[in-house]
Amino acid sequence: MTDRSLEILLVEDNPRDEELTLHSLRRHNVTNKIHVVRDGQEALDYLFGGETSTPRVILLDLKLPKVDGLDVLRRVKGDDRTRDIPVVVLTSSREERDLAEAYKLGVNSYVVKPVNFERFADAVRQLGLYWLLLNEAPTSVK
Amino acid sequence: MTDFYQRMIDFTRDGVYRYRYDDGTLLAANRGLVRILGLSCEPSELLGKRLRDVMVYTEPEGTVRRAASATGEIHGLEYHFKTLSGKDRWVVHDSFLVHDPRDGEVVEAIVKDVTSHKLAVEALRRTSQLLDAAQATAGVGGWELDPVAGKLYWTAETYRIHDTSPEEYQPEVESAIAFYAPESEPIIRAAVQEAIVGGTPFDLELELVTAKGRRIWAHATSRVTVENGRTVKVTGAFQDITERRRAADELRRLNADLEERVRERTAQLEIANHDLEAFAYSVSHDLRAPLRTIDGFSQILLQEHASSLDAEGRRYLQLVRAGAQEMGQLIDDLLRLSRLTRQAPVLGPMSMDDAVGAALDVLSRDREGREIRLEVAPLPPCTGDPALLKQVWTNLLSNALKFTSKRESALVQVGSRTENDRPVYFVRDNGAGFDMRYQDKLFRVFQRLHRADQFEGNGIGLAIVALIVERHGGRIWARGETDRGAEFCFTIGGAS
Repeated sequence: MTDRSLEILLVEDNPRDEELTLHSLRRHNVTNKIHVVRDGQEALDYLFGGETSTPRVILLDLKLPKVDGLDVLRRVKGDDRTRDIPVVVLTSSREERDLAEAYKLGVNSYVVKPVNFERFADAVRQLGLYWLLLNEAPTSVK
Repeated sequence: MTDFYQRMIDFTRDGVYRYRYDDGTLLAANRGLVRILGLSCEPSELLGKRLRDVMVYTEPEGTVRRAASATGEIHGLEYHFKTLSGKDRWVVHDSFLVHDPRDGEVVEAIVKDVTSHKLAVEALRRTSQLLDAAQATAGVGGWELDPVAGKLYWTAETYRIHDTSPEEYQPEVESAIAFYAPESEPIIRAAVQEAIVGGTPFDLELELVTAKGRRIWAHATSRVTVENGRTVKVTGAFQDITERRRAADELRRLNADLEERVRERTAQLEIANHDLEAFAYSVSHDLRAPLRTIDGFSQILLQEHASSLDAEGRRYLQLVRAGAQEMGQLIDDLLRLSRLTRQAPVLGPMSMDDAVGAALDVLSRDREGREIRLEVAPLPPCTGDPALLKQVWTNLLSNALKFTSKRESALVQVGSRTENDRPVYFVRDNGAGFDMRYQDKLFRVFQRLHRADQFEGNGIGLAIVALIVERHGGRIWARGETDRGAEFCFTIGGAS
């Protein structure tokens, strides 16, 4: 496996949430290269801009400036080049319609960010380990 | 010949008699007169009696006398009197005055009894008057067409509806049709034609212009009498329905208005509801993020920079975290409450036992390390929303666990009983209880009966429970006593 294939794309507009997420991942020994984009448009540019690589997993916030998370998810799951990338929605929203929509669009996992940091860190850690270490090939992910 | 006259006089039912002009003394009378006077004597017995003794004048006695012309002749004078037994009599009187050498001035008279005819005419007049009065009251006129003779007859009310009278207008088909407004005229013309030729009745609402130029709506109906395949009579009712049409139009307009207003109001409500949802969505997202920052970085401080803080500093940070988490819980509860008010429950047959089991699973952490006697009886199933009723049990049981937390041996019971043929579910505990004086505050948002330093809580849990029960068509109430425990009971509307 190359570095490229172990890359994590974090789509997060809140810098403090970004820092907490990164801190938590590192603290739990997820040392993979993490690329951070701040809004939906940047995420799309990164994924479909041409020369950039395909991340191993996408951690996607739903409420984003410009292009929102559900639209990013729709594009990712609607494109043959990106369809197999596991997408984990990581959001503050407990709205059931968001959850339903995300599953309809083919999200692989959906985590409501808890206020309690330990549970947040736990959620982030499990995600990171699960997607990065347990799944050998993206194509095996349904 | 004299015999012939005598026979005729005896035979006729008319009264034939003669009397003295000055005092009315009868000089001759026949059987007819006896009959008309309502008596049963022989005619000869009347002789010598005065007229005023054998009848009761209801008109001044001189009427007949005054009616006499200069020649002393009277023809066809009609007058009324009563018989001695009080019966009405109308007669038509013919007489002439003669001078008799022996008796002086003598009246020779023939009277014809027209009482029965008069009564019949009177009855007919009364019927006709009543009919007119009834038609005027009902606002319904009548009409009759004789197509053979080409005659049209209107009742008084029909005239009145047309703003005319028999003096001003004699109805006939052509001019009657001309009353109708231009757009109605061809319709009534065709209908009348069809009634006469085809024997088909009609029932039409048409506009017409009255003699005074008022534009009105009329309801015209007809019945056709056919004899030997030929229409001999068309009769019908005729009604001014302008008011009714106006009222109906008004009603239609009001209904349309109302529908329009309901549509507008619904649209407004949808917008308001949508705004509320957007607000809730925003709250759930934006309010939680800063709390996560507060809690997250406090935690990092505690974990990784503990050495640069003294014990008090660490305790303060713990308080910061507790506050942030409490607010997170508050936001979650408020959002849950707001969702409940916006969404209708999805009802179906469900097991209450499962709902209680699921609630106890959620609360397993709260029970850890505590001495609690938990008694759960089998419960009757119900028709409800499983997720929502799980919430009801979770909140009630969470309260029971919370308020028994200071008991050495806590007792929490779940069960049901039947009241008025409906199951009443309950959660009972031996905890802190509450003062019944404040029971109406129990189910209100943000109302708490215990101080935060005794039992934590935000005052939303029971409000959520009450709202869910209410949305299931049920009822919730509570009994308690300070320090003697509490019992929360509820019913579900669609209990099976």
